[in-house]
Amino acid sequence: MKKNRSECIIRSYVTWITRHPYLVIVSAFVITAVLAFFIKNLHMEMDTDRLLPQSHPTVVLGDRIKETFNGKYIVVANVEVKEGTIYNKAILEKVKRITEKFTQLPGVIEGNVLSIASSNIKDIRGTAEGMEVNQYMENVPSTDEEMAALRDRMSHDPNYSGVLVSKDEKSATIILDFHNLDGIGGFMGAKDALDKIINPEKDANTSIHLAGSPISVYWLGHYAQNMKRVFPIALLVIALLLFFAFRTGQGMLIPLVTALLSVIWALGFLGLTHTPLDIFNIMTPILILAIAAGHSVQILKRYYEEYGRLKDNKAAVIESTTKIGMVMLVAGFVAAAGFFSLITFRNLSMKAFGVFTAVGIVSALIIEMTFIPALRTLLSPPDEKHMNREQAHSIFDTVVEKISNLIISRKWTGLIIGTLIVLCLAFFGLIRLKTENSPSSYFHENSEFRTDLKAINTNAPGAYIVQVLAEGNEQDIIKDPQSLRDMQKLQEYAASLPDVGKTMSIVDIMKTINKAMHSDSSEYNVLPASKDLVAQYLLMYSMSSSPSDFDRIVTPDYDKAVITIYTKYDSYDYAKKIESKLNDYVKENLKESHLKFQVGGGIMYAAALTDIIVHGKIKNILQISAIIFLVVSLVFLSFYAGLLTLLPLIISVLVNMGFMGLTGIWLSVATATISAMAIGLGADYGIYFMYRFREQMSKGKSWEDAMTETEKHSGKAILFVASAVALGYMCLMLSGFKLHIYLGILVPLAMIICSLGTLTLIPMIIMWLKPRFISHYEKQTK
Amino acid sequence: MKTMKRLAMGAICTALMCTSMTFGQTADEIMKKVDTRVVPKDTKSMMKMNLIDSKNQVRQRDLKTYKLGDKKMMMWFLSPADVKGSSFFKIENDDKDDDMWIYLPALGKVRRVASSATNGSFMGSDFTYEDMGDRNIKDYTYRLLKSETVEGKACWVIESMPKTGVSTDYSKIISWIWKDQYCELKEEFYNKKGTLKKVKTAEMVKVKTYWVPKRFLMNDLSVNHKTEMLFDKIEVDTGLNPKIFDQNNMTKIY
Repeated sequence: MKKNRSECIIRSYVTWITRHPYLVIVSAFVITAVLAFFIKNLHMEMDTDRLLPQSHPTVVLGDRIKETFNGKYIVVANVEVKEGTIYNKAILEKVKRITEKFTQLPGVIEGNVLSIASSNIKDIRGTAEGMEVNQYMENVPSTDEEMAALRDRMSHDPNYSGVLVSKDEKSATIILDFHNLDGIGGFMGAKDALDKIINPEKDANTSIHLAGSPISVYWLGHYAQNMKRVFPIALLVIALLLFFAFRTGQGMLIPLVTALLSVIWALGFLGLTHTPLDIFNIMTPILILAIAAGHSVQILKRYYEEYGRLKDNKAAVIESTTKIGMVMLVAGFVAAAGFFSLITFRNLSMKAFGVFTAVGIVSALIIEMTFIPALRTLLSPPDEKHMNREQAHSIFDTVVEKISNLIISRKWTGLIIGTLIVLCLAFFGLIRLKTENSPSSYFHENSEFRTDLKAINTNAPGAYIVQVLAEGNEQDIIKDPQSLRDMQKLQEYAASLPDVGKTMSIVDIMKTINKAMHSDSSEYNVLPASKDLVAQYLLMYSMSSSPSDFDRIVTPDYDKAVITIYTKYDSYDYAKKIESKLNDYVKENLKESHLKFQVGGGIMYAAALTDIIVHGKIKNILQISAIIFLVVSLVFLSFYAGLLTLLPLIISVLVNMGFMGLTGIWLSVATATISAMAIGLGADYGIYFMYRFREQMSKGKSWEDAMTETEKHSGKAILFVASAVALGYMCLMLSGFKLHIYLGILVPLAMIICSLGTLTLIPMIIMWLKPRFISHYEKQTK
Repeated sequence: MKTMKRLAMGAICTALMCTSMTFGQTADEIMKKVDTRVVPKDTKSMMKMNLIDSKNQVRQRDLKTYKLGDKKMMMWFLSPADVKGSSFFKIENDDKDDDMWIYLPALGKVRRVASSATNGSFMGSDFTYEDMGDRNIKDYTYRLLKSETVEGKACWVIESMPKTGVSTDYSKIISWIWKDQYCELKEEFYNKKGTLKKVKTAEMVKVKTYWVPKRFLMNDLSVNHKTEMLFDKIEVDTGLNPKIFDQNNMTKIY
């Protein structure tokens, strides 16, 4: 009874729509235009660190290090020569010009610029009478003697040789530290600003490489922008497949119009509400596209069915929209509620993902319930030829017929064994699944980013940093030789870890000064013995240096210091290993220290983000699953229904992750997102299928006939849309960017497993257990 | 109409006359007088140096200073404890880099500290030697901008631009020169990007016939860090023995 009442409401509503098609279409256009206007407000958050919840321990620690010692965004530039060495007037002039121009960039921390030409890099030398502290290269040497002297001094400097000038003397490195990148156009502008400085200095003999986290983010963003080019290609392939499936122009265009309008509405909503889009959400339009197209295909398929039966356009529109509208609203509401629930996450990216997808789904529902029936009313109905083409036997019919026959035959052993084998393989893969994230690994070996990174990792200490905050509870504690010795131990241990290029701290400076004060005798290249001597050395050093020389390594109160560790990798796994090794070392060897050592900063931010996003996405999957289960159970008044809907979803997520484990694709920020997307897609399939099954049963059909009919209509529509989206996204495999390749593999896999799971497992279990939420309708009619 | 024109002409002439009266001297002349201002033959004082960080936390240092003219200076640290007894001796040279020595009691040795950099910090403060006025007058070109009062004192406002090839941290310095005594009451230092980096203010006190600083404040806006120098017990022309200004006298506090 209840169902009839709601059907009546929808019917009279759709009838109203078909009577006022122009009003509805114009309104839809106005809304689209308004929302499209707000897309210009859409803001891309490139700084992934800002996506982390600000109370996260890594953020708190990282921000403290940043606040205390300035800077956070390290950029490493490496000037490399093919012929000769960098000890050449023309080359050093280049290095000096670049250093000066870099230093003048907005956001650069002047005192943290490290280069042979920067004013805060001092050559500390012992002389017969005392100590000399001089800027390495205030002016480029003009005579051979001066050049030889500079070369000699630099090559013997334990602190900077191999860091600012490579051991083979073929390259010079400039390390920059930015407070923020706002003044140079954010992450996407930073590289351009740096390029403007370095490009004029490049020539046949000189190449200049750039690396560092802002550069990684730039390239990620750059390739993410490629999506704009790939998206239309994917869309074209989807369109062609829809055409192949429906064999009519309308069948191709209507689902695409719905999908595109939904994406525009959702993007406009994000712009309107100033919700930032980030690089992890750049794939979300694909999800909306797939979901929206899915709903549209279901209604369109039903329209052709009803038109064939009623031979009246308006009646077919009303009938199909009424019949499918109900289930579409339920399915859409279920998915939208699931996604919207992600607003409870603290992570901005997750919230945006949830809101974006939920709004996209709701938009699709609104468009399908307003614009599309109105448009459909105005479009000419399919003629005999079109109807025949649409009804013609296709490969999809063959597939669903085979599935139907298999289910009816009750020879399920093969299906069950097949499913179990797939699941076993998935579990086997799951064990091997590795959480890892390394932005650099997404780029092709020969890309500018990778070649630059390789050069910098060879010529310089590394493009990435990890920082250890050494914190005491009283002023001047860092001056205590015991504190310095503890720092030295940890620093030496850090230097022994793999792929660490260099470590730097106040310890190195103290040793150098001590040595200089003892006429450069190498036996004094040790820490000073007393606290007073440390204090007095520092006082002395301060007299020939700038007060900001030490800002990057120790606080003015000498209660905190930082050890900077340059690394060659930025991967999650590497960062985690370094972190745990350093922490273990502190626990074992430095537990008596007056200082508290904490590992953070640099690549630890990215590691924390991976932790949060990957675990967050797993939680996303669980949360959305729970909501889908609850809402579906409530709508069908049966837990069976809830479980059945979840079954293909769970299998699809397991297979996706298992496949990743088997093929060595990492569970990363990007791939975890794809799994979370699969959940949103698959729920619709199950709901459509079960509704149609129930509808067929209520028409008094036998279990077998109901199942065959459901497969033939709902099942075929599911197969249509799944294969269209899958093949559309396989196009991405042509892209050189590994993230797109993964997307091109994993999305189709999710679509195939979800649709096949729905088409086989759900009917099999229904036929086997004859659950009450369906059998109830059988009894009602009898 | 004619009356109007005459009035306008008259106004312009008056303005020009006033300007030439006020700007009677050129910027170069003013700066030369600043450079050659008569200073005490010797000065003794106690200096409190307050280093104030961005959170307004203050670190205090106490020093005893002796100066001979404006070319030789000796300073002893009295506090904090870990640097007590350390001393600093500097001879300013016009034609070559300055000579500097430091005595570190913990090392028990006097060491020469050589540095050609004018951007070195003065005693680890926000002042560099360059900010302390240790600038060669010939290295800059000057321009008189206007007249203004600072703390009720009439001042010339003069812009100093470094000549090419001069080693400096700054792209320009704007100085407020007290017209009565030819000393700087305020200075603004602009970094190479052209933005204001530091502001220095000075308070002068008359001791005998000389105007000498009793307080300097340097505010480094780029790092939000300040240094205050307070001079107390200032004595001038005391007849300090020039022999005190010797490396051998660095080890004991006079």
